[in-house]
Amino acid sequence: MNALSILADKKRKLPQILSSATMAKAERLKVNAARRFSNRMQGENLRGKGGTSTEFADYRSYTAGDDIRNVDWNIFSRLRKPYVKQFHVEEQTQITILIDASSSMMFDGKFERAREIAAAIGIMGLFNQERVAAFAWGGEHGPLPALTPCAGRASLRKLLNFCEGIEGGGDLAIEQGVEDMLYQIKGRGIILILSDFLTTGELKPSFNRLYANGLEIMGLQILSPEEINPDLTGDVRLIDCETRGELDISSAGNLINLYQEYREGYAKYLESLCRQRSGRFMTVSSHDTVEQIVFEQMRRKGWVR
Amino acid sequence: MSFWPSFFNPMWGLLALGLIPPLVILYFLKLKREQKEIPSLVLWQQVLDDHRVNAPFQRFRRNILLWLQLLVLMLLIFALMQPFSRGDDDFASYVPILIDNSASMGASNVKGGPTRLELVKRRIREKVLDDLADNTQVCLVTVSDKATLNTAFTNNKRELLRGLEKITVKEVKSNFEDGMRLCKNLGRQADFNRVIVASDFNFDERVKFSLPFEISKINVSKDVTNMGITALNARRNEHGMWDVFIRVESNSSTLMGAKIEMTGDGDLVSENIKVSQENVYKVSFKVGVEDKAKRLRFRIVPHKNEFDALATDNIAYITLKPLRDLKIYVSPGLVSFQRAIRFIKGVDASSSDRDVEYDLVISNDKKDILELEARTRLFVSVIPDDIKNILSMNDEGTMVVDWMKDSPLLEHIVLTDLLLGDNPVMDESARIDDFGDRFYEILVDGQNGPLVLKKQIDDRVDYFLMFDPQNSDLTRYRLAFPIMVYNLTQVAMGSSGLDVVNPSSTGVLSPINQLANASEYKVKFPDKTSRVEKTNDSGVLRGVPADHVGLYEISGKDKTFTVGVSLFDAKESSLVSVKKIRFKENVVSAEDSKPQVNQSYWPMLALVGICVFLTEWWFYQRRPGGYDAV
Repeated sequence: MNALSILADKKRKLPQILSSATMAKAERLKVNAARRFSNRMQGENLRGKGGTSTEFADYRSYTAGDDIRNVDWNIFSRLRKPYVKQFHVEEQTQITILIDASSSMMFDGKFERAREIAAAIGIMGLFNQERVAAFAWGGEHGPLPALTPCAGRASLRKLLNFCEGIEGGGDLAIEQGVEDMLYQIKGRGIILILSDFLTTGELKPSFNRLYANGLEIMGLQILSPEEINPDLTGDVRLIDCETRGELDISSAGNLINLYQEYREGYAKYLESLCRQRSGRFMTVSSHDTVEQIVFEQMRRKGWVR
Repeated sequence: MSFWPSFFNPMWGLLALGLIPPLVILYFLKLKREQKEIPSLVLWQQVLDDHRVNAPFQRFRRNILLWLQLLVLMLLIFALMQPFSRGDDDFASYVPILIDNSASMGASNVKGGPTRLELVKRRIREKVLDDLADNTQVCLVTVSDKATLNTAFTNNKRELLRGLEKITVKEVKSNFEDGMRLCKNLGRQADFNRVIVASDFNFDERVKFSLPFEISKINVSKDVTNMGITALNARRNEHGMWDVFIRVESNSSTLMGAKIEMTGDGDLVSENIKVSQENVYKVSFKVGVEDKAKRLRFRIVPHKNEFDALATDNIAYITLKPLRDLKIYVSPGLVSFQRAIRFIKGVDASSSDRDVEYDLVISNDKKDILELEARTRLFVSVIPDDIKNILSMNDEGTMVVDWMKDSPLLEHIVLTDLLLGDNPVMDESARIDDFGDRFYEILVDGQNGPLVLKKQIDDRVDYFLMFDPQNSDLTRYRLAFPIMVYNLTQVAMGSSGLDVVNPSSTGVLSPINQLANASEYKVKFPDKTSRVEKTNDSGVLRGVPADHVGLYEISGKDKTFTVGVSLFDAKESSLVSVKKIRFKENVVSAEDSKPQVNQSYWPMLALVGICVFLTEWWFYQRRPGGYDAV
């Protein structure tokens, strides 16, 4: 039973945030966690040895108290020493998706792309027996609009409705968004942050707190082509769409190269913040399609498989 | 006109005005910053901070726009202050410029190129006037056959440029000394130490002038080839015809080919000639003139492959009158004169008919001074009224003391030991200068006073013998008397145009006789301009300027006629420039010395200011140079 058949059964129309083909491709993939951040619930993710799954992991010497059902008698008959078979643990991973819905994302399709990616990753989680939670920040400080942790294919509509229903706007900074989210979330797992990460605040404490809460950070920076490759000349007055702050720039043409260096340097800094916390980071363009981002770029980087 | 942008060039001025509207528009466009909304200022703020902090001279660069605008403002202020640099140390605030506009300045240094005068004008305009500092006053003096003050001392560049443009070539020979004298006289009005001389230095090497100032030279001379008619005249021959003589010279070391054409009465005769420095073309031919005057026009047409730098010396005119006998009136009592004239050919002497118009009058009657008109007269034993109070006559006899041997009347005559019965005595209170004051010239001086006097007014010559030749041994034992009479007839022939014809050359028209007394005549010049001149009481028109080669049409109530004027100056035609000018007390090189006057920098500063302004605009509005997009 796939996602389309679920929709057909219920005879209700789902939000068209993703095309049918994209959803079909997404359900065949799963998010690839780099570390074991398990919430101890039974799931489909193979973790370390000592589990009860059918996937063999290793042998160890028998010690008193071990269940003799796990002794490998074939080995005992040949070596006259008891060895116990160990199996992988199958655990459920929680995938938390944190979507930046501030005003800076309301620019050149960044927010739409973030919603699509969130939907695609969420589908992967639901179809792989993971718990999926989603939050969006942007408006005022306080409880964030959230998709409470859910699991199973039946939660697909819930996920899509949440993604479609997020309203953009506001000037809440990412560090505040993370703080608010941490009040609302429980459990360990993966956190996918979909944002442009353009903040004047300090991200390091926020990332530390995420790491301390057992969350593997996957930072996906979504920038518009205008941010990646600005086309500015002469004397320009730049206006921040969030804060309405103004900045006068003369001879902008001369600053383009410096901007590029700075933007790349900032991306490397964010990447190092994530990597130091066993996380990953990637920058994508809002003009790339969700298929290009999820099924090509994230797949090539090993984020999904 | 100079092509360098100058506010004194009206065309450039208009173009500069045309720049103002676009500049103003660009300025306002620059003031209005383009507003652009972006997702976040985070990166740009950091970029800008980093750019300011890390850039060298970051304080300066932060306000580079302001600095550039201050630079523009400073340049404009400096321009308004009109800075200048001092030229040659000797230059004071006054600079006379002496410009040669004689005939040779009409020559071109290259075929079809500008004349030397145009080159001089261009150099004066570009090197002196365009950047002239306002504290320097310049006057323009032109010199051809005479010097003329073109503009007085002024720093009004527009006036100077206008005066410079008005200067034209006068097809006359150069009189450099006159120009130097005028400059010297200008020193009474203004204090200056240096004069700029702009010329091709085609004049005599020796200049009779003591140089009281330094001279800077603008020399536009160049070795170029030229050919021209340097001499033309006609002489009466013994067959009653005119022997016309013409000479064509060239300054080329190699032979120059040309065709010489002669036009007269509608007939055209031409001949191919070759001339060089060594090979001067000289030819003489006979021309008969029957009943009316004949004007001959000669023209040199150089072959196409030859470069003839000066065109004005290629044309010459001569007017030949019909030949006739010299008409002489001799008083009945002067038998010795009658006998001497009887043996002279080509004369028609009479002693009776007083109503005829004579060429020569020989009389011993004082009344004839007033009654008989002729261009040449000789009075015997007659003391004119204007000198009778300083000269008297007695019969004590006298001897010759000295005589003017170069006088045409006394050529080939020796008067030594001549005994005279008459004795002209000068009053004791009188001096020799008293005769000069009365326009008399003493040709022969006796022991007590002058024996022969000459008085020339206009074209009329009167000789006065203060003795009777018959009362001396001049007529008895000597050849001197018939020779003197022959000389007298030759002088009369020359005065009447019956012996030699020397055509008019440029400068001033030769006096024209036999016109209505005190009447106005309109003179039409070859350059199509005209002016009215008036004859004197004797019916002589004189002092008419002839600055150009060509035909001068003179028309009055009684007659209209033309006079041909030619250059006839071998020096001008040679186009040879002197290497050194030998003044009375020093020698000056004629090489170009590139004079430097006080130069103003405000036009340059203003130009730099505009350039900085435009560069600044371009710099801040240019598009990025390109980069590798991520």
